[in-house]
Amino acid sequence: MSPQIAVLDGVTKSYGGAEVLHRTDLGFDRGVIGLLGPNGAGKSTMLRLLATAMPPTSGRIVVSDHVVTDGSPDRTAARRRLSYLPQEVGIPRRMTSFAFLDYIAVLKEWKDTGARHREVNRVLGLVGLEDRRTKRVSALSGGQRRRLALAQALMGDPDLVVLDEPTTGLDPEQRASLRGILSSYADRGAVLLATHQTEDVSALCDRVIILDDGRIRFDGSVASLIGLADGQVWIGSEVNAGALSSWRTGTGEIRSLGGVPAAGSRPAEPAVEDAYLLVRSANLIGQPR
Amino acid sequence: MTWHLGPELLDRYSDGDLDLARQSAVETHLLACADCRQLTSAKAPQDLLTDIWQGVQIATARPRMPWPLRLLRKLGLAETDAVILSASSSLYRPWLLSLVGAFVIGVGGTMMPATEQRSLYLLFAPLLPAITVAAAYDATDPIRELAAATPFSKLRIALLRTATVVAIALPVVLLAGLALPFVGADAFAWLLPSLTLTLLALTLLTWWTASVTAWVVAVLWLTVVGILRSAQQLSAVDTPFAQLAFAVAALLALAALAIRLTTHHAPGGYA
Repeated sequence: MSPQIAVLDGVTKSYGGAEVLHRTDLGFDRGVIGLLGPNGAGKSTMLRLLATAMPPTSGRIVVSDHVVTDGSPDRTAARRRLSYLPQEVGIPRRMTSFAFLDYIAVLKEWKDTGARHREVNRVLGLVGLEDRRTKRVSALSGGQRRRLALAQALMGDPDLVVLDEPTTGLDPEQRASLRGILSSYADRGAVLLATHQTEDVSALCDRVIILDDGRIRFDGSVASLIGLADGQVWIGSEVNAGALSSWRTGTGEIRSLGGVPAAGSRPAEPAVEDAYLLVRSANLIGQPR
Repeated sequence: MTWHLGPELLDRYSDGDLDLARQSAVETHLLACADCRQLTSAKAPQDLLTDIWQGVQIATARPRMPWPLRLLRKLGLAETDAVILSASSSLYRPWLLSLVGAFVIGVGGTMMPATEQRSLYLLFAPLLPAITVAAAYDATDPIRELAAATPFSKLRIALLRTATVVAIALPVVLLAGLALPFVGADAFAWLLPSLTLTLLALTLLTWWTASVTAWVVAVLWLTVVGILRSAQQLSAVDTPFAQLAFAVAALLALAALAIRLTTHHAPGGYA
């Protein structure tokens, strides 16, 4: 069995005495892994730790066989094998798109000027910003800035790609394009993405982890997550009594999640979002959390 | 149009197999004949065209480095280091800050009573290099988290920026001090306090952003000068005892920086 690309071994993180990530043991293999959870659940903290952007309070983190918590040389070696897109990237506004990526490429130790510039050009094309090379960041739209930030994470051939809400600000076409790009990276390494878009998870991820209040609530395949909501989603003319959530669909019928099925209602196909809401609410009667 | 490129001539042209005279004739014709241009384009090796086009795109997109960096490149600065310095605003901003500082000292000093001139100089001169070091981090602070996850040595970035901005700020302030009649021996007395404040700024940058660091260092130094002034001890700054005290403070700041570096914290964030 090949070693895992990234490992969190008994990792915790506290800020000012408050533990935001409780003891976590996780391993990441090749594929796309979706990280779901409400705001403040600890998703970004977990991603920062994996990306070596900050140290854990305790525990051990391994990336590409390098124990990043052991010391600077291991951490530097691990950083050569990963890429990271933080949730917010305040790209200096006076820089051009090309200059920003060139700077990040230098930080990623692309020493050969020609190869580095070709790589910058390649990732600009990947995110559809090839015609914005010479534009200053201040002249880019919010979505274009997000794509520019994303482009730096696509440089090279990383083993671990850590993306914090990569599809925020992207239109449907760009999101579809990004899914294609991430799939190709997942053939070679682990792509870990935190998102609020459950459709991205169902379309892209091999595995999904739900994090809530700094603890893992679910870890498994998308199919097994959706399976948790089997028999919990109903469509009918009335709202289920005690439904966790309900809304009127485009056909005028009411879709209810959980609760006691209303008279005349019929079961419906659950989605990732249904299962996520059920896990979050601990409303899975008879199902382990 | 009296003639067009036949298949044989087209092949020989695209293979680069024509003598100069024929090649020129073909190219003159191509300028005027869209049909033959289209035929020639189809023959052109696509990989080569892609490479050339990419080269053109890169050449036009690559930002031109400021002249001081071009000069440093000629003196042996590595291209990657030049990119780092170029991104950090570490040339123009320190230069501007130093000039403004020297201007304030010069003009402000002549407008103030003789007793206050020394206070003014001692307030600004040691502070300028420290502030310019902090300023060199301001531009890249917003991507601090992103930069932290990259393998490039954060210590190297710190040294590059510090060396560059101090090399710019130091001569400006020193020359201003020597040129101003009211400064006298203080032109050199500020060097050790300045070293202390610069090392302190670098240490604080391992915790805080550039703007916070600049404010803390400025307020701290303002307080020191204020206390000395109220005790009417400003002249004590250039005494051997005071200079020794500043040297000890500089060593302490250096030790604090070393401790932060060995615990994986560099200016600009987690190392």
